[in-house]
Amino acid sequence: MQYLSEFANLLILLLLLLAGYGAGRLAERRHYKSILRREDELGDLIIVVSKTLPPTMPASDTRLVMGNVVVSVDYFKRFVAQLRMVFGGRVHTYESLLDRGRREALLRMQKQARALGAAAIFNTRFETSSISKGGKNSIGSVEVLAYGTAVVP
Amino acid sequence: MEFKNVKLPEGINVSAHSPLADFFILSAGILAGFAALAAGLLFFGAALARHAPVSWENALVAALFENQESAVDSRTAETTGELQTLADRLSAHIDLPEGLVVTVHYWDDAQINAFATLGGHIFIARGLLERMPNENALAMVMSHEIAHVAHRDPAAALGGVLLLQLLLAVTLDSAPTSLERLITGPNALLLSGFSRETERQADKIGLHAVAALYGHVAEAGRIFEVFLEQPEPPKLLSTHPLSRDRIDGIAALARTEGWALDGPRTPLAPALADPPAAAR
Repeated sequence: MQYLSEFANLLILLLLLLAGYGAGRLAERRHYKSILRREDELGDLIIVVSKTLPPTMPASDTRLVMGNVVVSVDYFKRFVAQLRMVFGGRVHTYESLLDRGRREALLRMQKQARALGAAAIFNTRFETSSISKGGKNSIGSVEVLAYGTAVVP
Repeated sequence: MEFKNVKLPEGINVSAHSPLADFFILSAGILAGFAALAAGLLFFGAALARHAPVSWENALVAALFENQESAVDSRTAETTGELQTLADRLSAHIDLPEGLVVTVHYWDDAQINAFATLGGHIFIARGLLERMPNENALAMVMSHEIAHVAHRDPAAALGGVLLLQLLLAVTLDSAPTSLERLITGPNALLLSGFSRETERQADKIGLHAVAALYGHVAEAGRIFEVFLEQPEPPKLLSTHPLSRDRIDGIAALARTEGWALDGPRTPLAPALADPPAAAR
């Protein structure tokens, strides 16, 4: 019985991993579905990184618009990322986290611009930072901020 | 120049890589690596400790046992004396390292337990004595503990576990909690497996001493029959082999060595048959 607590710890870990995997897959699938739908809806609102407007583009007004989002990674993906950090190499499990974060931030920025009646967003930039570092410096969640200059025709 | 949003192709910034495959491959790699390193350290530490001078072992515990004798009453002293006499008779049939003297202590506790520790010190609990019907049954327990002393098992356990704990402390200090959880389960498996093997060896050596003293091994399995009265943990989680396996092991070794499983029982000395208790 001496080592029962160690095995209890391992069992807790496996249960957390199972819950994380299931819930994480579901949340990710739903988010991507929503992202694809809104990208179709807002596809006509141009986003570019160029700083200067073409001289022929009508522009009655320009406004700063931004979209930000905080996305968290599930327990399973965080665990696998921690294992990867022992050996080095690409951390595949965080790729979808960052992809979702950036696309969601862009969509929110576009939504803000659409509400202002803008036709395009210029000088688009991203800022990404990790917040809520999990226990012992693991990444818990990521904040992505997208900002740019909305041009109202 | 005309600007337009183009739908970007999927699957470029997010690779189609199965996280489950990563999980299994990386977990297996870490567990295998840790197991190899931990097993190496455990056995190396134990081997090193077994070869350390006996004087070091004695010095480690000398201060703990210095003033004990003056604190006991006459009944306890008599019980301790009888236990020591039995231990001396059995020690004559066990190869003890030079400088290591077996010293037995009577432990006034209701547990059915006995253990050996550093410096040749052995503790026999009242609870165990009360369950021994005769000297033959007690002799197996005593010789098992003397075998631990002879094999330097307490020192080996200390040395091996120390090195292993050092490894854990170094690797897990900056590791995430989840990695700790992944490693400590298999670590426990390793330690309990190591412990079970030393217990098997002690049973073997102890049984040889019992057979040499009495000419037979009757009642050698009695203590394990007592343990069978209580539920036992699963084998892999236990620091000791299962009691049924130990009883079978005694019968198998007796057959191999040609020892009689039955024979005359030697009664316990009165001080052992009725051990003193602080408050009854």
